[in-house]
Amino acid sequence: MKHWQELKIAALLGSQKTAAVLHWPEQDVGVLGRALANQPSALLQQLALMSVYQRAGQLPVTLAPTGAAASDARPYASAAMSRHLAYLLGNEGQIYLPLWLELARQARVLAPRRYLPALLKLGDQQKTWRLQIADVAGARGGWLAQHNPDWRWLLAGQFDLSSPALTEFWQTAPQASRELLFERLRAADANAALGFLQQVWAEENAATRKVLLEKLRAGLSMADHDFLENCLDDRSKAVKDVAVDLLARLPESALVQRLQQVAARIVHIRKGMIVKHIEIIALDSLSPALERDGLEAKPKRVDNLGEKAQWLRDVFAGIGLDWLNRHCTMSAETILEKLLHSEWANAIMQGLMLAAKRQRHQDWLLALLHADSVKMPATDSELLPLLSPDRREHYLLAQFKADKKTGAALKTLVALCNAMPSWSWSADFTVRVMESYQSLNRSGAPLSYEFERQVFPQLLALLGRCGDAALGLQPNQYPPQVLANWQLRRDLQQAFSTHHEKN
Amino acid sequence: MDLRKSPVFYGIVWRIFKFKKMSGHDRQDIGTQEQDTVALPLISPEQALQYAPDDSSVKAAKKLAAVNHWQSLHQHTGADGHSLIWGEIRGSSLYQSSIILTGNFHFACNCPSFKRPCKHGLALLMTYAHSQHAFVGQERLPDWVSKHLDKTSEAAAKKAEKAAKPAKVVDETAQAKRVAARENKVEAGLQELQLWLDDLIRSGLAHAKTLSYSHFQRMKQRLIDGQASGLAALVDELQSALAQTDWQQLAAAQAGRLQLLLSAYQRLDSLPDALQADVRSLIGWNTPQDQVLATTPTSDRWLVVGSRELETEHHLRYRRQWLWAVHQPQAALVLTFTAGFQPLPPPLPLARQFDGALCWYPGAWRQRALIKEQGMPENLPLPSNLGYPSLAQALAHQAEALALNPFLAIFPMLLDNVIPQYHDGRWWLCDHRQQAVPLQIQGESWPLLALSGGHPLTMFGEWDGQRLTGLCAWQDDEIISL
Repeated sequence: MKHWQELKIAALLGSQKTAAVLHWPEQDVGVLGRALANQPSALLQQLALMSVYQRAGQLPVTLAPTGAAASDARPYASAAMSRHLAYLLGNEGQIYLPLWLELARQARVLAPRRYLPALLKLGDQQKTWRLQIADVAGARGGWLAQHNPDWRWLLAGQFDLSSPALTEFWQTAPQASRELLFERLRAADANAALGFLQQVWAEENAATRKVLLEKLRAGLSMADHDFLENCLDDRSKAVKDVAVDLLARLPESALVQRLQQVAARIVHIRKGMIVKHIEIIALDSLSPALERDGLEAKPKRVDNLGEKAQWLRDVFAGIGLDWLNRHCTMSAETILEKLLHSEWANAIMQGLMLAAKRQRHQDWLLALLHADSVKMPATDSELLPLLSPDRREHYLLAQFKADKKTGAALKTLVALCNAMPSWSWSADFTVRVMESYQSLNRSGAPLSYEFERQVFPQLLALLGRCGDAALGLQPNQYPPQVLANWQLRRDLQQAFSTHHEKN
Repeated sequence: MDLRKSPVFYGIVWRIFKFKKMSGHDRQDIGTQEQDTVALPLISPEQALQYAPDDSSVKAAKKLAAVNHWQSLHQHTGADGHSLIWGEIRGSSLYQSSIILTGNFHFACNCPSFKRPCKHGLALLMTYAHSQHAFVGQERLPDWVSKHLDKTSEAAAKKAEKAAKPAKVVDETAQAKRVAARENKVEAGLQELQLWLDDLIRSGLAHAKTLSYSHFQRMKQRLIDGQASGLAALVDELQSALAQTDWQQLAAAQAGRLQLLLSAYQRLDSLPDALQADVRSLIGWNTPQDQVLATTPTSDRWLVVGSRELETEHHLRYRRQWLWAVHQPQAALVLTFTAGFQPLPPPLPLARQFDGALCWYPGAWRQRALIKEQGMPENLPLPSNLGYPSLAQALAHQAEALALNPFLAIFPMLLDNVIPQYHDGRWWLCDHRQQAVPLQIQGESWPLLALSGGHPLTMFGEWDGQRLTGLCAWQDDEIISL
């Protein structure tokens, strides 16, 4: 476009310098252009000609083709499923997104292509959704992830674990990809995953070692024992702490046995005339062996516990609770009752709670929940998530019964559910929570601002999210927003169930 | 409320009884069956937002657009076919908001906001868009809702009455006099513009860039006074072209465009009739809608391929709505304008098809049209091989169009089998012959890349002579708006 350049320069400088452009190519446009040079406003006229000529004569450029995504064998989600996904990707519906992802995985369908960027963005923010997203993203998602460094983790989520390139990928992948890959390896073959971890163990820095070691919690077994036992000698305290935590979850581990031997010297049963007593004789000093097992010689003062108290806490956190029952020949409740009178009660309770959480020991969890004492810190939100759902609901219902007027139990429930992952409420539990809400709402008693603005809206949201959706099919007088959420959940399930029936 | 008297209750009871006789499969179908029988219009949340008077209303409404913010949500479908939704929400007091969903949606709310629709109305409509099932059907309208309904039907009746009155008798001599006066005014304005433009180019565009705002403002004002508002807009474009980064290119082209129009007007009588109409409309003469609707309409099946909303100076907003004929492929442009707080009516739903008759505005190249008759938009499978098979063909067709109407600023292109590609820091649209043109995507480009995956798709966009602005793209049955 030499002539256009020339004309442009003339226009910039003004027609008092160059009245008109006289050199034109030997084409039709040149004939016209030259003819215009003799007219009034010649330069403007030529600009007018050129502005049309230029627009009419645009030519495309040649571009080399780029690689395309491989095709997917699995079908894309149906229109009904996609409609749901569109809503769930927004802020309001996001709580149900994991449900959609799970249903899509079961139905073996892929997310529609247009929603992949939104899904990958969410996966970038929420690590826990990554595996599920990788599953529904398909080859198209993998192709897309290659174009954005933030989405590289998806490649690890989709990497073929039987590929011969696995070792190389495992050793060279960036941190985020490697975490996800290790989760998958561990889920596929726990022992093989341990081997992969040992391959790179020596070269990794402490932070990476800690993150990867934590992932051994899934599928933990005695097969991991020797490796973990070695980790007790790790240079990094963070890594060592994780190793202690994992070993304490294995009742047969050497660490648990060692701590039980120590505990046997601490917990003494004194037989009285009628009842037995438990006497605690705290440790006076720390042996190097105990330091290796995670006890700190000079710990910082935490939770108002001095060093001896902290040693006690750490010993109790590491023993098998069944062993303790046998050692004392008492039930969990009795042991707790006796121990609460001890001067070390606070430290021991903390240790036992940690042990109960590590071992998911249902009897002990319940006993700790019921042990109501000033010496016990408020722990419901820590212990309840580990109880099985039916025991958890049973415990909460008992609290509702105790308090019918003030709604304090409802408030506790809301606070609890905010602090722990949600679970699907049973029909009975849903009805009882609903009744409790409705009776309080109808009682006409003046409610505090907090109830009206915070507790109730949150409670209704919880009912909608966790309550038994099938209840909405019966005649009821439930609040419309709860019913709407239930309807949404039923519709969502139905969109996938019709798909199953077709196949 | 006594629940036993409520029709909802009976509806549920009936379902329960029917329920027992059904098989498991039927049972799961209840949800959809019920939804399908509801004769309420379906809208998407995006469509709901079209009614927002401004961005802050959108923001405020989004906060309230969740079911649990509303104390009650109801819907009602009357015997005469009108449907309403209403709800109550607690703000600084209890606000009652209702919307008549028939025809052009009509909003009412007792909040003191001067914006209409207010944030409550918008939030109600958005809530309705994504949680329609949360609206409980109710036969009896509350007083405040019936008042709203009465008020609207009164207004509609008045309008109908006004329309029924015979049109005013036109005084033809007076009209001719007015037309002649305007012609003279425009003539004078154009002469002045030619002088002004000559002066501008004499000292050069580099100098023009240094000129003050008022230099252009005076000329624009003069043209508006001379009833040539179209030219004033072109002067405005020249002024803003001078402020762009590649101003040398844009300003030279814009000066050329202005001169082209001036030259064309000087020998208007020697131009073909159709092109005369183009020149006149560019200068600022409007073609009355009645006159357009009186022409022979083109009937076809129209595919909605996208729309774009733009704003001019002086708060005038307008939408370019593009349609593509399925049987005899050609594009049609429907313009909708609005001013002030008035929202634009929602655009036609993307990718739907309707049978309709369109009347074309006079011009050498058919582009702008009015919808005379419109059937129900249907959701049919997206057609393939409807657009241009290659970029070369599309560009050749554009050159043909420019030969007939050199003033054509935008040329619509529906392109089959094209691949969006990112190359050298910018987007390109590449056809199967590896020929590419620059592509502009207004929103996010990731969904487009995800949809394509390096495979060909169909794209509709506006070609402005330099690059294509993509408006929608589809592959198989998935479509996105860009």
